[in-house]
Amino acid sequence: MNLIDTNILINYILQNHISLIEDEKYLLYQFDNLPLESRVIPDFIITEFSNVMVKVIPSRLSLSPGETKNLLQKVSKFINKILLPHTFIITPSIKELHQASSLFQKQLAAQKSKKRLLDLTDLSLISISKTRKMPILTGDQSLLKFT
Amino acid sequence: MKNHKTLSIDLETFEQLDLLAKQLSMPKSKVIKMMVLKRTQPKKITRQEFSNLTKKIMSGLDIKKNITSNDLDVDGSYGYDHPNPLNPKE
Repeated sequence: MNLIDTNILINYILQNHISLIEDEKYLLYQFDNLPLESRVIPDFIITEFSNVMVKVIPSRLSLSPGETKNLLQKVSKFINKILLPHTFIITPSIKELHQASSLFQKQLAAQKSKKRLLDLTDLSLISISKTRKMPILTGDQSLLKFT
Repeated sequence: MKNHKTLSIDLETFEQLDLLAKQLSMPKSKVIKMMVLKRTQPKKITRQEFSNLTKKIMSGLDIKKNITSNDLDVDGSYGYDHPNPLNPKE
């Protein structure tokens, strides 16, 4: 079983519309070859995926209001018709959230300037990965360092 | 010999389960069965069908292709701090 990170979902649905480097293509190949019951997606990853598609991607791709509406209709359909019914959705436990919050505090205490901080979403993913012994499928190198 | 499946849950989950069973007036075993069914049985399709359905939904999306995932910051930061680093004046 693999925990699926947001960047995999974004690259998966935009793969024919953006240029992917070889590593990213390989990650998508891995995702494509995972049995559906092994694709584990925490609920907060779906929320983050939706946030990025609504708040970040349209401006990055310089989409017109019409193109944005078209994209978001497709994203909404993907979440409702594909992701939610056909993948294994999980919810973090309170214990895992406490662990993520504690990691966040430790990270702040040890923060070096200009180093990207992992947010609670990343840290919750790490916490779930450690607790449930599931590897994370992600293109985020800073996240992989903790797993 | 009957093949028993085991389920290990932590104390916190057990307490929540106990509460839920009381609220629903059901035995804990039935609540577990409902939860397991709910959580482990996504509607069955093949990987190929998953991929085809996604392609079908995403078809007709006509957007620029000369942007890399690096420009999108899909490494994890997503650029929430700025709406469009490709065009800082925006």
